[in-house]
Amino acid sequence: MKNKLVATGMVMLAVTLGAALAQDKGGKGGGGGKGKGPAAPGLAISSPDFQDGGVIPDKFTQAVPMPVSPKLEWTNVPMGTVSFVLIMHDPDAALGGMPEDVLHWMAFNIPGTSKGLDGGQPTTPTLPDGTVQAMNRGRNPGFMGPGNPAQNPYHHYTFELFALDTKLSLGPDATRADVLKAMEMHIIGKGVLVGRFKRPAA
Amino acid sequence: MKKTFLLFGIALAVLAQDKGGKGGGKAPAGPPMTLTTPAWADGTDIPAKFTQAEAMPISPKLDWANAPMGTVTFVLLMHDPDVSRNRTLDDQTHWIVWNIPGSSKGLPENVPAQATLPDGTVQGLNGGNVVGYRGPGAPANGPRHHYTLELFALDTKLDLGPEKSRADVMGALSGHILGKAVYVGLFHRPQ
Repeated sequence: MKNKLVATGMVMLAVTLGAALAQDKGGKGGGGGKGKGPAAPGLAISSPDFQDGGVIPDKFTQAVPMPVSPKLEWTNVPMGTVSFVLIMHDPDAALGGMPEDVLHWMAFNIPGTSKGLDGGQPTTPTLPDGTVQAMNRGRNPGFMGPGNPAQNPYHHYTFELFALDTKLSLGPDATRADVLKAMEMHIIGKGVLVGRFKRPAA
Repeated sequence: MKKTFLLFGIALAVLAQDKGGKGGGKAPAGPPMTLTTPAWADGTDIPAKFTQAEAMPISPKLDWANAPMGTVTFVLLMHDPDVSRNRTLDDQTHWIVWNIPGSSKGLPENVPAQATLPDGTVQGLNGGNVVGYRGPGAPANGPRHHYTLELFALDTKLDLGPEKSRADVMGALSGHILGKAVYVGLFHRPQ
């Protein structure tokens, strides 16, 4: 019994050390360790609807009256992922002179078994699989299409996918600050996708 | 009547923020501030000379234009949001620079790795605990990371020495941001 406990402790220590080292190296949590052979490839998020770093097509933006969310796909999911959080934001904006930027979409408790999100997600606070969609900056649940005015430089709509080792005990009324706080110490992988947009000239 | 004006004012402020949020949600200013580099096109791959694919990466030349009226200093942050450090929301800091004079139009290529520059600019420690610029170094076997350069135009100078952290700087600029501009480059190491 005592031996088993010690062994368990050693394994936990090794896992902790390995994770800490992996994060220093590149931070795609859950990978292998520094100087311990190749790390597992980091969580990757992509969309068939636009190229990473490229321009987001109009149908997903406020250039049309009813923008739909793009299809998203992810791979290299870390072992032990229980749920995902997706946060889409526009870092080009500084609201009210503060570092806070514009939140376009925040979904959490996306099942850890999922491989992505279909295009055109309904804008409801909860989805049948348990996914929760909180309020975006426009005070609506779900996806808010990019709306950067034509006279601006391209804004950089950043989709951040977090793999968590837990589910969040939060409802659709959760704020971005609530979700970020609840995620701390539970992030075992992260992947990012960027799409650029400004409205077509009038 | 007064109430109507007040409501109208609030509505305008909210609209201004939703529209792009450049600054305090006040009346629309001049043309928007831009941040660019001649080193790569926005949203595309960063050339090797600026990355850890080279033994001695150098910082890219940066240009900015249309700084808001009243800009006293700039803060430049380069970070890698693809990283979660130790399971937290902290990502990787590649470059944190503050008290860049408000009259400046950019930064030259290959800024020296010194805590203070002759014009008063301060460079803090990057995620590698080294002063100045840290070249992108995402591993070859994973996806490209999204190195995000964020330029903040401030209405003040920051009373922070080079020993201060990114968190200190972000805390100090709250309420002082007149404008913001972003530029993104992608990178992972060659196979």
